[in-house]
Amino acid sequence: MGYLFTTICQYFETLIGVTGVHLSLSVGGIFFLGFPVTFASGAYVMVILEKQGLPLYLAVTISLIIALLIGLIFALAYIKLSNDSFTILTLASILACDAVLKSWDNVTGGVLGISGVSRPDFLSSLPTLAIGQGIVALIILIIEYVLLKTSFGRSLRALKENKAALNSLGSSDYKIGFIIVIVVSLLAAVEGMFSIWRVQFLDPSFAGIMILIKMLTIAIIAYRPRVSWLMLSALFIVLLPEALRFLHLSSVIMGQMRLLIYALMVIFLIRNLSGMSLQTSRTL
Amino acid sequence: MNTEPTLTIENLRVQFGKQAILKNISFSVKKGEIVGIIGPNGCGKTTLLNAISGFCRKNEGKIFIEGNDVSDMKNYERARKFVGRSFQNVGVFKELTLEENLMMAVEREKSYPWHWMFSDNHKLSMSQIIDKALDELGLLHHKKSQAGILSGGQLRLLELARLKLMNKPLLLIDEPTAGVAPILRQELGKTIGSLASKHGHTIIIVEHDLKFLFGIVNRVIVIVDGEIYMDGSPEEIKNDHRLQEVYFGK
Repeated sequence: MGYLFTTICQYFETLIGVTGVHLSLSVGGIFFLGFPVTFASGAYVMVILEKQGLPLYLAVTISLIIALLIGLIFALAYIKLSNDSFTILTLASILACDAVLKSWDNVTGGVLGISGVSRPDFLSSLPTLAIGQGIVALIILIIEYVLLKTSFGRSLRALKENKAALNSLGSSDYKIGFIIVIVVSLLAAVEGMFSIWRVQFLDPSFAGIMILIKMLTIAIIAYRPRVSWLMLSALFIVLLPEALRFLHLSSVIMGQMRLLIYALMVIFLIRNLSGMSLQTSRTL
Repeated sequence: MNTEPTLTIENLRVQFGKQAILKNISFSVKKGEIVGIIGPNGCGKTTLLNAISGFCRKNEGKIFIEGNDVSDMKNYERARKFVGRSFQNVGVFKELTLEENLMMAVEREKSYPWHWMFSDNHKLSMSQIIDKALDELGLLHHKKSQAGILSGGQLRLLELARLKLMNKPLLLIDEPTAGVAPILRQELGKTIGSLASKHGHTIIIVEHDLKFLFGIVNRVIVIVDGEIYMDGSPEEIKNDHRLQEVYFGK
């Protein structure tokens, strides 16, 4: 049962984080790749503050505020930089975050990380954690579903297709991108917190390129602005490693194979996201 | 026709790097007037529309719309208040449905985005407005289809319908006949004409099809090398030998 609930928890926490990535990348065509940074900060800040004796609610609140501030920095970069520079900057931020986590060892525990992370009392077992995550994931998915039907959702979809035409209708592409980058950052931080409650151990490998590839793959498969596509895509990617277990390969090869499959999916399906960008530059 | 100018441009200059694309452009357009902008390729016609709508920065000069100095306004702010714009490559969102494309024009008028979700009256009124607009285009049966299924001409008509629903005083239309079959051009011309005559919009059109253009405009401005070369009624411009020089050489 532990294995089943672990997988269910993985699915729900993935859904929480990937909803933001879905909104930015799949729906809005915003290539914001810095979410592993707030994923890591969400988990690290909460755990470090808790270890310092702060109550859980305060640690969670401060962790979210820091994620918000990091998100604001990314959002300002979105406004100031060209699309390409923004994508490269956000990608580089993952490496910078990794370097900070590894080298600031008196705070983050360095490469050894922080062990013995306790769960909150009300989520102390895997089933209760799964229920808690499920409720949060459901709320976030409902919000996304509603959001996509609003004027903001339509503008976000239009942003992916044609920025100039969107501006010509009185919507600011920068404002929409600004909001979405912050939302992605916050949701990634929430996912980070839930993930750490599941694994109860934190080290620099917790966040980074691996989480980036996983989330990108889900967002690319779920390239349609539909919540159902996102749910199915996340389910597929979360269950893929479990399905590979039936091949009875060694764990090293299986890990590499999983990465290879993700990478192939990203390579072959990326055009789902990039196809419209040419139209924007040609519009004027 | 009302004599109050909707658009006034004073000494406009636009440069890309050291290259001046528009030089010393000054003219006014009266309310309800349809002005055609013509000139050889690369003379700065689309740049002029971009400068008016805020899609490119001016280096010098002032732009006034309905008496308001919009020179330093951002493109989306101009769009909210004064300017409707169509594009050389159609600016319809092909992955959105026809209904959603038109909704984006209607709801921009409203102050908050959630309004339509909670107000039945508003939902009804928006639906009626959109149904009427689509019915006029003969596209009501495609209301829930993605705009990508439409032909080039239908996309142009949808874009014009969106401009009409935006209900802004100044409309900028860039090459409306590009990629449109001859059979639909007449309808396009009628639609553009009615935007000015029935709905009182002031319109500036950039167009290469002179026959089409002269049939719908009140005035023509010829731009050559970024400067106003000629400015007059369609008849005056049509009969001026300099037009031949501009298009076919001396």
